Amino acid sequence: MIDSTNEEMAVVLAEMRYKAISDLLASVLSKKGGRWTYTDMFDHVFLHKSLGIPIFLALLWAVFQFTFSLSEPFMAMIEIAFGWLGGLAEIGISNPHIASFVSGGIVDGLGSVLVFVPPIFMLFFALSILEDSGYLARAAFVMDRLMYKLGLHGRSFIPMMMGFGCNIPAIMATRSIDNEKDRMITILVNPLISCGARLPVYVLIAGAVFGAKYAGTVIFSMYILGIALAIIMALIFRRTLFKGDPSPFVLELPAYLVPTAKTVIYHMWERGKLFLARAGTIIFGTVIIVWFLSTHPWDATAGGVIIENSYIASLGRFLEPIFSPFGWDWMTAVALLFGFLAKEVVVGTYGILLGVGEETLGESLVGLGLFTPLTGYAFMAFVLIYVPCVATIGIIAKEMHSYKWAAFVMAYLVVLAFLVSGSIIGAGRLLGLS
Amino acid sequence: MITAAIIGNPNVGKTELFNRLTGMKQHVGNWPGVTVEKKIGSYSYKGEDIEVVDLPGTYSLTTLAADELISRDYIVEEKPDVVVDIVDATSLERNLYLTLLLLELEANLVMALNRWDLATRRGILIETEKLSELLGVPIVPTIAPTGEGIESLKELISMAAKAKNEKRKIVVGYGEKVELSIAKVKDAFCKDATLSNKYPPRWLAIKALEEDEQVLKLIEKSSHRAEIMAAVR
Amino acid sequence: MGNFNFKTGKRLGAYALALGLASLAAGLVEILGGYGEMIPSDWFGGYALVVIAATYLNGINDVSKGKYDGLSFLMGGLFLTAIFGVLYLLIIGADGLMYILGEADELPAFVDLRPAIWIFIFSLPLACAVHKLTRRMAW
Repeated sequence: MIDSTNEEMAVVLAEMRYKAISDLLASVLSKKGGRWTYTDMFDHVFLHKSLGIPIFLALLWAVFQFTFSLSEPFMAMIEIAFGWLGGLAEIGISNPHIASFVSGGIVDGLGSVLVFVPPIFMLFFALSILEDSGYLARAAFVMDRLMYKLGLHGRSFIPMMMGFGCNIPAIMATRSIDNEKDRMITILVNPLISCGARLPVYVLIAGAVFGAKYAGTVIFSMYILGIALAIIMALIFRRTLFKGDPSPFVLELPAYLVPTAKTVIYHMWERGKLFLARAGTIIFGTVIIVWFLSTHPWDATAGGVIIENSYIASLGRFLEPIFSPFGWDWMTAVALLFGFLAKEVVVGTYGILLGVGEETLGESLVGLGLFTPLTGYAFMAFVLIYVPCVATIGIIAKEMHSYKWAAFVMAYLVVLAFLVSGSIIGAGRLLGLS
Repeated sequence: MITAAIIGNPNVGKTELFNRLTGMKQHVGNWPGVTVEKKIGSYSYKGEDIEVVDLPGTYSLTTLAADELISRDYIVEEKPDVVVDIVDATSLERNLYLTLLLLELEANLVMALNRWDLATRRGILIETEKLSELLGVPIVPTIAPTGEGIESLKELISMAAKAKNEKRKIVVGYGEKVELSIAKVKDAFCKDATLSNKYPPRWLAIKALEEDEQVLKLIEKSSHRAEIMAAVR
Repeated sequence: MGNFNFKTGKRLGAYALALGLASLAAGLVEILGGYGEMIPSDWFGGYALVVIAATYLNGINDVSKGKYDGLSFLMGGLFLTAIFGVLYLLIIGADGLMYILGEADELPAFVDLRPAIWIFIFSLPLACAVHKLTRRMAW
């Protein structure tokens, strides 16, 4: 009889196997001259126990700086093109209903979303470089090492990193986690990772209320806020709903490669085309609904000119009391409501309600005084957290085999969104901001 | 016909090697009850048909993860003639863990040391003959992208299939104390003829000590349940 | 593991020390609010410079002894320097494009060359020297 429990027995046996392996290797393996490889050299630095995470954060910041600063001129070009199209539609189409649909619905609504094609593709381009070069696996490794120390599962971070593109494939990627509890936790917190669809909202609001100079920093802080909240919530779930120890992990670290332009562009396109497909389907569909609600009753709104009299305004006024403590008006209320279908629609809704004319959408937002830096920042945090999009909810229900969990995700995120945005507003007002 | 199963850690070039072996002759399905892809291919070597099943890439063979369970069930239940273990020559230490588990399962193993070129370039020297002798497993270095070593691998598979019944018994010793417990449990298992004929008794004993869910279920159903459980405790 | 000529190591170490200290100084100034037109106020940009500095400085001791362990930090530092240097150069290009589109009031000028760009330029000789030592290395 041995004096250890059987659970420890599995560990003892595994240790013995590793011992047998190292004995084997000692007699068959030799490394001639201890040659270093580029992979050894870079891993020495990127996996360094104190430099690893700071380097990851610096590179992440470079990614967002790249995304935001470099896409500006391209966004300006698209804005100019759509502005010209809208003007053309107003003059060229005689039927007022169709003219309103084209200039208000398509150009202002869909156009204001399509303006964000450049930053989204640039983000995906940068992420593809990180992934194809082999760095993303290292980033996951250093973060997992931290998470493991905190009592969270390793291997969770790869799915989290994929969440920067879109939460849906990220949640599907959690299948690689063997332990069911670890997997559930990873799924539950994944919606907190800022996906590509949130980027348009961040770029719009940050650009408008903080100006181009600070927008990159503000957007980066949103991504960090998302990661931090994901880690905090994971810890809470680990302590409450899914008690237990995380299972140990082995992570495959492939050799580094210089990514080729072909594969990077291919991967960027693979991710980006999802955004284009959404723009053509769910975003377009929702934009039509928003346009209809904002121009009808047709006579009362004088063909969409007096939005205050439209159905959407009534709907917004009905919802407004929920958000007025945050300093957000009825337009923001409807934008958030429709944003549930797809987060890009938040931007599209503003596009329709404010119209995109001489001024850019960002300038109108500030001009009308819809947001101060404080309320704008709280709004971005709210959009980050409040609910994942419909498709993500669907995939959560599917992967967790239960609608109850999907409902739970929505409920906890809404509560968290009010708490976080409320704290931001509260803290800001204490500091004397408006 | 010979059946061969291909197994290995994730990202060792397993799929590439599978494609090299079977060429275009393969079809894809699902493993029963799960959404894990099942690929079967075939080739002929010296007039003999060999069917190759691509098992999911895994690091170990526990019951915790779906793909590990699939691989293990296939080897235990379907008993393929040969199991081809694809090992990444650049990270032997991690890869050999699975090899040891396969040896415990008493699978008829053939080892392909893949990424041989990378290992050589990184200055890793492996004495394959010695490793083969120590493990009791035929070994061939392969380079999946160029197809180097594939012909030798085919030959080893056919040879191993023929030598199936003269299996070499090489065991990993777990140290005196643990071995005593294993022997005790193994003896108890051997009393149940149906179980010990179907599964390797030493493997059953090790898994019972590890409290492997599936093996515990097997014990539940055994006619010698009480004896086995007594030995495990 | 293997070593290289330690005279070379001393030279590389001295150069990396200079680059590291320059990055550290520039990074701290950016974090603390910038100085003049050449160094902007930028928290995270400054943070990145401090991380680059830490990477260089971490390798100096070992590299001076001719150890590859140390050289790897120099490589890491050079890599990060290049990422940020190229990034800021691209941003200057984008600003130029904004001017052409009529969305910006002035063309980017000499003063828009941020410290990270200068450090990148001054890191190029070190990059060549490190490359000489590592060019026969496998991935």
